[in-house]
Amino acid sequence: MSDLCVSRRGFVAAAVGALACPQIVRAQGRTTLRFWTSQGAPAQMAAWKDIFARFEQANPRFTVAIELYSDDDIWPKLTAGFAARNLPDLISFVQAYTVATLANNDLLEPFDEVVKAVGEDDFFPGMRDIYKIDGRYVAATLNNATSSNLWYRKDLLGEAGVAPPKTWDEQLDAARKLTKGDIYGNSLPYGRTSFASTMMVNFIHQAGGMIVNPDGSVGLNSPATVAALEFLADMFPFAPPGATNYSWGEVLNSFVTGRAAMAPYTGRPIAIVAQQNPKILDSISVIPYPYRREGHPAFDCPFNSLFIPKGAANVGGAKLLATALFEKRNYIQFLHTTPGHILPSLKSISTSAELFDQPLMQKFRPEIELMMRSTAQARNLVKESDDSPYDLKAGDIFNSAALSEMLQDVVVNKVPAKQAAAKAADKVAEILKA
Amino acid sequence: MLEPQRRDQALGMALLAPTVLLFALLIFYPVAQSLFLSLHRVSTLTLRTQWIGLANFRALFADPAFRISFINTLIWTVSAVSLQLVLGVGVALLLNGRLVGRSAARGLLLFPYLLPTAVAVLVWRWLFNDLYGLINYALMSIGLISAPVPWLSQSPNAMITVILVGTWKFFPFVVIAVLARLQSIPESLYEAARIDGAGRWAQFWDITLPQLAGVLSVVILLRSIWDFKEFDLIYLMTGGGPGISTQTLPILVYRQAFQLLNFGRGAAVAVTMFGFMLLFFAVHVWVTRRREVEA
Repeated sequence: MSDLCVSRRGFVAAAVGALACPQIVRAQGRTTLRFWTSQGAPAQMAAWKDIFARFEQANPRFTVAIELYSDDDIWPKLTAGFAARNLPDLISFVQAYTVATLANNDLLEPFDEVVKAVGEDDFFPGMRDIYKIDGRYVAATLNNATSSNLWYRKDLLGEAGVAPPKTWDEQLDAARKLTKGDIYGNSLPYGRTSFASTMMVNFIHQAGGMIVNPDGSVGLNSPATVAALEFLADMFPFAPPGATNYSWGEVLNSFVTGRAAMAPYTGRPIAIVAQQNPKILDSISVIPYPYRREGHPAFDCPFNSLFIPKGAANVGGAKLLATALFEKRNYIQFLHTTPGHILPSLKSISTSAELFDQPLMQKFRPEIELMMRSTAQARNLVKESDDSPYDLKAGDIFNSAALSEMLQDVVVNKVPAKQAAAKAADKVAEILKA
Repeated sequence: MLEPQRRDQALGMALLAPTVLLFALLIFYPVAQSLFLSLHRVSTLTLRTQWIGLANFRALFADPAFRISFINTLIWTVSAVSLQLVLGVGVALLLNGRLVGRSAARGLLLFPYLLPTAVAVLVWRWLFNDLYGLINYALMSIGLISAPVPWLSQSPNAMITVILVGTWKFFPFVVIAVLARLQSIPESLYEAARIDGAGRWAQFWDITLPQLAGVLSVVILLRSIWDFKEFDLIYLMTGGGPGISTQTLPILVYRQAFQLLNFGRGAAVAVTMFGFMLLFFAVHVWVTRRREVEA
């Protein structure tokens, strides 16, 4: 009987001990910093571990725990975290729209200290100011990428006697000529997906339009939007048959497997083609995405963010860790995990020789430099023009899928472009009013 | 000092209390909470609430997406449950007969039901892929089609495909339930019927089916409830697309709560679904009781 009593007590003591473990760790002077990232490919995990090992060595008070999320489950995870007051200390790679929604709900810790420690002037101005609201930083662009590129097959374009297109007319003509047998001229995301919404923002900008005007009124119902929708409808027959469900993965696959002659994407095809279809590696190249003849070149970026959620347990430690991620060695090591896909937000890194000290970065240096120039000029729905105020409702507009649904209305439901644009504009107006 | 009768009553209530408490915690609290949320504007992020009465329901019923999602839910539920029943009963009858490798077949049959939905969907999405899917490749190889069929990206193909995959995934449940009942039908009934000259179809219609009525009634009820609120299979297969042609009510709940961050509107959809299910349950109970009275 007494044995049983001891055993129960022992069990309770062990349970309490296990629950109190984090406190014990803190009491011994080692605090765990929880770091969220969506970048968890094996090479990236190895780089994170290396970077955090160096951080822990330099800051023995801390250990870093990596927690992965995916772009699709960021909202359920964040909302659960805020509801349960169980938040990570530092979150990375969340897009600018999401940061805007969090800022709109006052759920971010000030980030000025980190930006100033890294060096305000070292950031590309657009990438720095995207997270400056009312003179205060709420996040920093850790790095960037742009899908406003057109990847193309030099060999297939050469065989068809087509030059890389600069305008939509030329792209449509090229897609028509390149669609042969089991090759599709152009892969595009027509699904009700985040990629389609991202591309829609860019297409409307390239056509000379806006989603929200600088005065805060809805600009979506415009001839530019109609032109963009009509162009995309014209391009649809030259896309793979499943394109109405396409998002990031499908567009990338269609290009990497050689089934699409052209496709928009970030620099990710470089590494994926090298790994999975190296026989076409010498035949791929990239140009800025073509634009409407009556419009202008435009580029859209996610501005991969780094921020501290309000309610994080270790704000001071999170700031230290955030600053460490911008250190040159750490920064470049991570960029090298996906050569050409993730691009620097710091001028000093973009011009450093070490950045190209990697075989694929070296091989595709002209393409990567071109994409870096694009990202330096890129915009986002949160700030569509220099004159636009910071749009705290950008996340709500983006999450509503109003833009990709508008595209699907035209392509899937065969609704006239003008009618689809008007319907989407009403949705955006409702969001802005709410 | 309490009288014996009062003491017994108190003891009875004390013994019932844990059950009542558990019931209240596990059943009434979530339902009441959903109802409460549906009457408020709730930010999913901050959980700040503001009383808005029936505004969520008014907005919902005025929203064409809700009507389409409701119709999609009915199409999915009725078609998937019907196909599962037909296939399930058919396979159960086969497995109840003398069949070589019957034990192995019974074991293998459970495979789709045991497979995690995410894995099953990955496999099927690969099979139905527009560019390198095995199904398109096979159909093109035998000359049945000349170009790949967009199985999941064109309406009504997407809904048909999802229904077929759903049927494949869930019909083993029907087989298990029906097979268990088939094995307990007395052989003497069939012998008597054969002596009276009944053929196979007459035996099935007049003996097997009436004997299965009870179990089929429970299977229909359970499968309808489960399919009506099925989320993961449809969401992972199509995400509700193309357009909203496969968007069902559970997907609408998810979109409202976690994409549009409008928890109140999501709760309103969930409460409406709960109402539909209660209605379905009431009809089921009424039909079952009437049948029992007639029997």
